[in-house]
Amino acid sequence: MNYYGTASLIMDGTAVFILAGMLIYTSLYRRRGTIADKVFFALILADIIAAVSDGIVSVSDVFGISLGSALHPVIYSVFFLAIDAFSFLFCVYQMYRMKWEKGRISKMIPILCIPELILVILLFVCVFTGNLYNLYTGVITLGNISVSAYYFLSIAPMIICGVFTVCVSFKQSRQILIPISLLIIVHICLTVASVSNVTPLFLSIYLMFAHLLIMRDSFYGEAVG
Amino acid sequence: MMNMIQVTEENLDEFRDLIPEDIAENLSRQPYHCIALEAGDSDPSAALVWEFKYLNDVTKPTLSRLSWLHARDNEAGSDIFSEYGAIVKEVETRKSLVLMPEDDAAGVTDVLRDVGFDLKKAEGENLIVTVGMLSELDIIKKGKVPDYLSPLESLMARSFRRGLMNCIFHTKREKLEDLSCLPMEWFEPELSCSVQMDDKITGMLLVHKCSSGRLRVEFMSATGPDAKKDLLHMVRFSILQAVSNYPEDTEVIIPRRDESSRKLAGYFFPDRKGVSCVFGERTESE
Amino acid sequence: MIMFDDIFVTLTFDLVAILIILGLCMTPKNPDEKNNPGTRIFMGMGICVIAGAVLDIISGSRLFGDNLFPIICLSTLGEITVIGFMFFLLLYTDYSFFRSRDHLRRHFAAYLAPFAFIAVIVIINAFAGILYTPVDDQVVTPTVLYYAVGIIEDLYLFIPAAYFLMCYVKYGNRKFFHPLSICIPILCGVVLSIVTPFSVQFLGFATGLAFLVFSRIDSWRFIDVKTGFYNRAYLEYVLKMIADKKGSFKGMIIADIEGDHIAFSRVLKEELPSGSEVVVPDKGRFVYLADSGNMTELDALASLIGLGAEEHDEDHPDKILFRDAVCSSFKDDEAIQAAIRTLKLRINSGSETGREQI
Repeated sequence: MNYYGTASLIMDGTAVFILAGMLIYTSLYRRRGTIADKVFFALILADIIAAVSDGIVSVSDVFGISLGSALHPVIYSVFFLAIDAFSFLFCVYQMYRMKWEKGRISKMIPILCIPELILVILLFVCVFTGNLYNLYTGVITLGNISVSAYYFLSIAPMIICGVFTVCVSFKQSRQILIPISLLIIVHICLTVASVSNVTPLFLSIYLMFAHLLIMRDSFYGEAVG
Repeated sequence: MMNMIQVTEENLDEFRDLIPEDIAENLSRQPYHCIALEAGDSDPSAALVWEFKYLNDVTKPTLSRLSWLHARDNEAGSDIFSEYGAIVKEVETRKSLVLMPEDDAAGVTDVLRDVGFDLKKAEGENLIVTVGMLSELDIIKKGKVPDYLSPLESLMARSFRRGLMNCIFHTKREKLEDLSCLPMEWFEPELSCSVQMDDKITGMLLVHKCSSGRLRVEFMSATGPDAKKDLLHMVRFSILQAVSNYPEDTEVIIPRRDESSRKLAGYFFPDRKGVSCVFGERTESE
Repeated sequence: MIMFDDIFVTLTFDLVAILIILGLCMTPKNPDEKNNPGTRIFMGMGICVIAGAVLDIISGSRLFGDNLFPIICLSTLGEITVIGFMFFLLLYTDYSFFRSRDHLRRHFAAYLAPFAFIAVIVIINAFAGILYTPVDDQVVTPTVLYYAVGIIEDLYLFIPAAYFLMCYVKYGNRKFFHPLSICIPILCGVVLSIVTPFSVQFLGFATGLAFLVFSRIDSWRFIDVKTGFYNRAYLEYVLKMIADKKGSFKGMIIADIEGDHIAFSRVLKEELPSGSEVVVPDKGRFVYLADSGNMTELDALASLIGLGAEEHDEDHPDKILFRDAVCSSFKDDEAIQAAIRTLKLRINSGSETGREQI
């Protein structure tokens, strides 16, 4: 039995469940039309795309269906792009939720774009040239350094997100800092352990945490009197 | 010279011979009205008692239900109905209904037909049984009264009011028009009872003792999650109380205002039918 | 480092389940729910999931090697946590539909009995081996008691779902509560645990609880956290509900006060029928939406509220200063919709409370 594929499939299914739940139960907020709500919706979409693309790969692994040499890189690209987009949007979402001034946000966005763009470039180099990463052997060869690009491309966006969260949350709210940091550490450890592809599920859990924390703040903020 | 008189509690004594005591005692209640026709020689020639239904409810058309009619002759009957017609039209009554026991309606069916009622025989909505018959029911032989059931006499007036409002607002069934206004004293404290859940009264069984000594179930409702069980507990309690405190031949009137009360009465007394009545309707306004 | 082993996959699932439950601890607490059994039952479910996942991780990690007694103990405790979760789920179903402490109390023994029976049997089995008869050192055969316990366990796994469905059919959909949202992940977790070599049930349980929290929070968007009644956004929801023919009201009581609105909310909870829909659009105004259009009944209720407020002011320093209660009844849906729109206009043109509009 293909344990990796089956476990990834179950993880992706769980992620889609959780995301669908959040889509249903946050419909009222999305209709409000504030930028933060739109960014949250985009985060959910990005994670669904990541889960579905990973799910397709898992299905092909479990049932031995070949995706073909053309489709395989495309699906992988979609998956990693979705994670990069998630990482970027999550940082933007935090900025809007913490009610930063527009000027400050506009200064921060280009700074955040730089590492994300580097990752996107690396991704396309990996996928389409195979120079850095061979999809079938999974190894980067840069001189004497052998690093698995797969892990790097999965973890790096979350490291960016994590560093941003730590820096921002340390001042604003340690309550956000502790659970998000814990999640990111566990996510990295499990990805490295390569038990299954846990990334889409963990992204959905980040969103769940964010949703609960934001709801807690707005719940008390909207009281009468 | 004819004189139309509004009969109220204050002048009721003059008309006690015309109106049965069980109906006369209702004149202290808001929905009930009575007019009498005096024909110069001081003996009233007609008396009419009716009850408005849904008068204060804009979601339903107002109805008038005749409780009692006495008319010496057709002319007196016609005169009193003219006055009645004017009164009910003022409050935009849609229809008038009559459902009287055949014995009570014996002398006035012609009057009713003359004034426009389309009469036919029907089974009365009230089921009349005796305390002796209640003592033979199986329900009192098994089961015990739970500790969350309390007789009315143990309740404070405020708790009674709150509990009554809770039951009224949770009951979609037909109920007395002025139930929310009836004082606690209207109900028999020993026979009436309530059930509590989470410190709120969720069910009540209220019994009134009429002037004639008959017992009448005015309200029976349970609204909690165990409504059916609570209802049976309350019925058991009231029957046990009635059996211990009243003679066997005491009559008990069980109104069957809707389908669920008909089913419940049918469950306990499957072979018993309501009194044979005369039923009729008349349209008052569109 | 690659681990293609079902145990490591199971450990991952259990770890994720624990993280989800820990995350759910951040759920905002509705002050109205502080002392209510639903919150404590929910915590019980969360504790069962965490305990079960931890036990699963410990047993999977093989810390005790081939030592039989700890393995049996862990397995026994693991079974108890799963059955315990189902027991709490049954309690939660009861409380969610009936919202009654007394009803829960009266049926508690019936809910507990099968769970207690199984728990006692599996605990005794850990010490006395009553569920299996050893044939030799390697083989055991299950006893009749094992099958009996198995049947009760299976029933206990599916009875909460069946009870949900029964309540759903009998009592209708409770507002904001979607029982399917908790049942589907739980059933999927149980089924996947049976058909795959992985222990997925705790992940299923945790996902079900997450859905439950989402739906609860979703309902709180209409709750005024200070009074526990509905906030002004609920009026919009009511208009939508009436337009969609999903519910309606026939009467309304608008009570105006000048003093302590939190104290008045407590008086209303005492005086009004249970489960009343009361909207608090601003500090001085409370709107009760009634199913009855009978003015006599509404007037009687309004006078009860007035009496309650007066009694409170006599006994407490924080005065309510009850001004007025106006009753209205409505002929049809259009009339009530017009009345609510008029009320909204009056509220919006009145004093602002600085609240974000939903």
